[in-house]
Amino acid sequence: MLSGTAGRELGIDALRRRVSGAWRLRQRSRYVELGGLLPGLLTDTQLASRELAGDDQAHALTVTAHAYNTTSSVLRRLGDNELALIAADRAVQTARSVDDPLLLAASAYRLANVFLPTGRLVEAKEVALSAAAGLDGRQDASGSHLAIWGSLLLTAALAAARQGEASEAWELLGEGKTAARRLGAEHADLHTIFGPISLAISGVQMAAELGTDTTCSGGPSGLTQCGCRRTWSSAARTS
Amino acid sequence: MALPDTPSLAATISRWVNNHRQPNEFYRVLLSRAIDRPRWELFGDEAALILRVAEASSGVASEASVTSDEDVNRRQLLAHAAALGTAAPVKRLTPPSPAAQIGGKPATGGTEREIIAAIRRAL
Repeated sequence: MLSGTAGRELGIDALRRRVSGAWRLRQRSRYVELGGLLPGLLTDTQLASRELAGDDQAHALTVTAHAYNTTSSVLRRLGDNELALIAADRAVQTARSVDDPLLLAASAYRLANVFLPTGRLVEAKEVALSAAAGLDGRQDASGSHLAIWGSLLLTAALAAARQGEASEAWELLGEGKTAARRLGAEHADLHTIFGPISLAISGVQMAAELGTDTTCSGGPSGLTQCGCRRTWSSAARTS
Repeated sequence: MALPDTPSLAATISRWVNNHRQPNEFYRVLLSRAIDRPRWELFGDEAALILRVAEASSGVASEASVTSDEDVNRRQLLAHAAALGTAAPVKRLTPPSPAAQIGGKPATGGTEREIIAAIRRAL
């Protein structure tokens, strides 16, 4: 049996458990614990990807891509966007090597969300839309497919909003709304978290991003009547 | 912190977005953190509070009467200016950023640097 850091077993099931544990810690913002866990996990998944063969190697590569995605997410949260970009890019490259459209879409989503806060809006939108297009015809294959498709559309919508492209932003959000409705509730797994709440939050965020733009017809009702930050604040003033 | 269930959160956001009811303190903290925007920017009544503080200290309160869109715009502009220019009220009204946590304790900058360095070595 292959063994990794600290003599840990490098079986696929064990690696999957560790990646799932890391993802849960990420969702709980337990960065200090993650900091102790991720380096060993990355080392072990990379080793398993190199040393295992056949189906086991494909599974190891899948786990490695998820580990990179979690790492990218953590690094972005900690403010190291440069390193987050490297991790996200490695996730995309790893996902490509296993020819898994869902994993590739999830990795592209992470990559787009590294571009987004750094102002690389063209890249963020292109990566997100390209990955969403890669799922065309497969959106209903599973809840995960629909959720990642919706997440990619929301990311593209936010990028469009930050570019000041209000019509495109609301149109993309509308497509995301379709996905959220079909899901019915929040879907959370290793690939993404998406559903009606994510959509509502993105709608609010987009209205704020679009600022005083008055062309946001098609946005959430109540914000679209004037569609601007003034309306947004005016609405809130009635409390 | 225990999160509200999905229907509760969705209903709160819907009521907020549709101008039916404003979120309470609990949801304001949550939404501000989720959207990563300061509270004064999300909740107009808090912007108005900042404005009142600024007005009280600058003596412009008597000039402010909201009767037109221009007035609303002006008040918003003042509120934003006040928020940018008066650190104390903003500091009080804006929740702490969702810092890295362990067992409810925030991670320090030094800890974050150590985490990043360890990950960098493994990448």
